Amino acid sequence: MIEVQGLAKHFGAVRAVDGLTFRAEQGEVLGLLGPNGAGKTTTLRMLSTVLLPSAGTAQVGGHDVRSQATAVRADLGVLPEYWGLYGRLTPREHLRYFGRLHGLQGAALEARIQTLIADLEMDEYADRRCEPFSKGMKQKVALGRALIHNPQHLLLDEPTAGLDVMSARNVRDLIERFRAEGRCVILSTHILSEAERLCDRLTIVDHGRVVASGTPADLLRQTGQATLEDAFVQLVGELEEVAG
Amino acid sequence: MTVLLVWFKELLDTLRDRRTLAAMVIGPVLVMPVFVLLPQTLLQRQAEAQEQSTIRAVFVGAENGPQLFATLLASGEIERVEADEPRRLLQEDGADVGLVIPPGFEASLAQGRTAVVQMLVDQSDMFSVQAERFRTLLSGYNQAVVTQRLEALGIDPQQLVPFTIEDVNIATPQQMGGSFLGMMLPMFIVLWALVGGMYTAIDVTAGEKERLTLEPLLTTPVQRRTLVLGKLLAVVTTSLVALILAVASMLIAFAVAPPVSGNTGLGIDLPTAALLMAAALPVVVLFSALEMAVCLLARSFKEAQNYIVPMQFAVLIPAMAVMVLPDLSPSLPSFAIPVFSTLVILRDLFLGQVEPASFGLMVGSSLVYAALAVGLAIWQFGREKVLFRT
Repeated sequence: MIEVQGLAKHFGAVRAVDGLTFRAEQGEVLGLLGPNGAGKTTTLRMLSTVLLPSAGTAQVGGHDVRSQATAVRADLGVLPEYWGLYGRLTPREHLRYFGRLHGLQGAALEARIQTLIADLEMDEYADRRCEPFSKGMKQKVALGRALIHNPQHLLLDEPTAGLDVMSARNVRDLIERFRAEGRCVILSTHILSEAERLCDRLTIVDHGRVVASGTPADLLRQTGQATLEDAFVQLVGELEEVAG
Repeated sequence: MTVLLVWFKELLDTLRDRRTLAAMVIGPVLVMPVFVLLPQTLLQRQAEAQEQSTIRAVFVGAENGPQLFATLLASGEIERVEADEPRRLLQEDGADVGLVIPPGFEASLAQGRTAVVQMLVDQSDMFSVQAERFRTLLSGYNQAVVTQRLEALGIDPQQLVPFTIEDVNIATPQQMGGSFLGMMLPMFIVLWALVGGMYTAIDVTAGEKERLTLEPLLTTPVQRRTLVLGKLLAVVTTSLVALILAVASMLIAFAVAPPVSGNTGLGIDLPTAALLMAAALPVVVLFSALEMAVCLLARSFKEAQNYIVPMQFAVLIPAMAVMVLPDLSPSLPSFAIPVFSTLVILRDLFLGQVEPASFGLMVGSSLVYAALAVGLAIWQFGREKVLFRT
């Protein structure tokens, strides 16, 4: 379970995140929706403990992001907005390095690597250097890296951005699977159709604050709109900023 | 153990990068012998060429001293060059030396008086031995005139020479090359400590930010301190390899082409080599940690390169001071000055005259500076502003 209470992050005078409250259960996909610059990535970074909150609390699996950061990271898989791979290492080397950083080793680690390579269909290029890979291939390596320690919590920042139709579909299938496996998933996106299909609940964020939350059906009812896009536009109120 | 894991990954990564290989292996192995052998070979060649070639001389007023002129030409070592403006010809390297014989020279000699001739020399041409050869020829003629005069007076010329001084010339141009190298070596060692690990230092900091791999790394349960130490170890390793290769290739160059004329001042035995390493290690750690702390401020590989160049200059300046002041013997407290003290100790190690107290103070103080630099690097890795600077 991921629980966020009054979370805030200030960069000087800029209030990137300004008192967010939401929670996501195991076996649930929570969609974090909002225009660019709404504070989604900053929120995820506080949850992954790489940024320290200015105020409020956040817990991942019952561990506090401030005082128990190591325990939080041990059971958390993060897919950053940009995959960030070492161009001179192969997918298998990536998985091995991060597996070891998570304390895995030996036959158990190698078996886990093999499972992920098979699951993500990376057999063909598992031992080639990542530099020339397509976006879809890189995204798979990054996903494998996030999953290597079999975390019960996942933070996915724009997981289908820039992917072709087939790759995006594969990623969506995976997210469905994470839910079925009982993991707690927070998905940051601005692709509304994807959010509607994948997410159990949505939290709409603008200017670092929650403007609405609930199931997609709740949001339609609240706004009296027929489509999620119309509901989103009404809630955020700035048509020109809606991307995707 | 996790430190070694990070170290191993960073080494694997950096060794797959051609830039690292160039800085760590190719540079030291190829550049150092060139620096060692080239000046030496050039000086030697030049000296040999000058010894063999004739002295190109311009004469002004040759008709004023026909005897002198004839004697000089008779030596067979002089090639006469004609010029309207002898000074300019000398400066343009059209002649090695000029001689101005004033009117009345011959008459002055005949009257047993002292005449003056002017010898024009370009003193800025440091490597020229021609002027000295010419002066010897002139002195020879001078001596011959003295002998004639004494004999005319019925005095044995030997009476005027109670004893002679035998010059044992050890300052050949080759040897000048040798001492030149002795001054250069400490600077090169420090320079390779700085350059050898440079690309790795950029790669594990700014490179990691540029590729956006830093965030995934920070979301593993590993402590940031552990990550920094593992990365530092990788930078220190590449620096040390570069340094060892540089010293080794220098030693091989000396073995293959030893400095001529019995210059043994640069023989390095195994214990000396071990001391050199012990002296260099703290400064290697210091540079590696500083490079990491500085490069982490940059957003990209290129930006980091811009930051690292001023750092290299800051090191080169004390290196130059030690190089150009060969007789520099600093007081004990100044062995606590970072980098400078290392350079002096390295030089003294080459010359075989190290004070244990100075050596201890240098190593001790350098270790303190290195520890501070490591602390700085770890602190930088904890700063959100630095890590997520966009």
